[in-house]
Amino acid sequence: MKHHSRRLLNRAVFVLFWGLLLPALIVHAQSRLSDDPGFVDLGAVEQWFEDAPTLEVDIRGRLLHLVAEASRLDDPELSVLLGKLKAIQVRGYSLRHSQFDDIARHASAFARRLSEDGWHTVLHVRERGEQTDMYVRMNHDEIAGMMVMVIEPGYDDTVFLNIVGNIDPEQIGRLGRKFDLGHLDDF
Amino acid sequence: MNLPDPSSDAMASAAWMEARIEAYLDDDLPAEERAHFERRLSTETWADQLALAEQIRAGLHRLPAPLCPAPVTQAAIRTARRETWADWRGRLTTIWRPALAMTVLLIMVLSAALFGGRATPNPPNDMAVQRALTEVKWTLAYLSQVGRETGVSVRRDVLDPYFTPPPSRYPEPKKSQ
Repeated sequence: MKHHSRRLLNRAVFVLFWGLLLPALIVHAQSRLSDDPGFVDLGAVEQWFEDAPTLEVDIRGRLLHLVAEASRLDDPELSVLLGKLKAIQVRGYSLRHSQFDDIARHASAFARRLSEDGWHTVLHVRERGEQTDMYVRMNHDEIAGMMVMVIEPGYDDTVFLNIVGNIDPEQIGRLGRKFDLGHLDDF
Repeated sequence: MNLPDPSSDAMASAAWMEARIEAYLDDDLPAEERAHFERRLSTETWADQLALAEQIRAGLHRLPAPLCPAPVTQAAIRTARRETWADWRGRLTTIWRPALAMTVLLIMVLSAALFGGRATPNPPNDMAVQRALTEVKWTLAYLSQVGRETGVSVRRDVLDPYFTPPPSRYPEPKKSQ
């Protein structure tokens, strides 16, 4: 009898444990950045190139929050903009002319996958050996993320950029004009 | 039901009545016994007995309540507390201890699951933050430039087919041989 009741108790504890743990793990999983609708895994892009990226920006989480705080006094508008973002990812690659067609083909397939995942094409420019694509993903009438692909032969000229969060494109354009665009190391 | 036998002797009947006077006053008698008791009250001298019992009860209620000596009260409270704690300890051992352990474990796991992934072992230093700020500015500047350049490209694509260059006023110079 005692053995039976102990076994029942163990089962109750087991059910209680998983009953509480599983929902918590699901909530945790949903809050991960990779599950955000505006997130794009740039790891897939890295496989198209033989060489490592020449430019790599990865700002997210606490670092992004600290950057927003750091710019609060000097540039309140930038701070507000960053406060709405969850991550900024950039990968820049050197591209030889001979590689252009291959990478452009990969990018087109990638763009199709983005469209299937609910991303909208905002910009699609093909010009003199250059290819520029811009996509946004909406979530409840707000922009959840932006993805930019610029494919152009040259050093650092092929760039893949993903911004996760509620973006105001006009604000980005306005703020971006304030900052000079040199090579990142020159800043 | 325990009613007296009508054929039994008066002594047994009186004993039955005496045993139930207090219960009758407390209104604790079953309905049938109560009815029998009340029938006997009207036919015998038990009404006087009942009145006497009521007087005794009222007199007892008027007596001052005796106070329990302080040492006895304290000893009783100590004993009660000890027994309560022993009872709780017993419950903890058999049922609550595993549940309590699981609850603590759950809190730890939930805390780790919800907040563990987000915590950074070493907070970014000022240099890292400044570097990140620079990267943010560069990214925004880059996006702005892409917007401007592609805007120019789109305008050119759209306008070029409809754009006729003005005729030159002067003939082109002849190329020198």
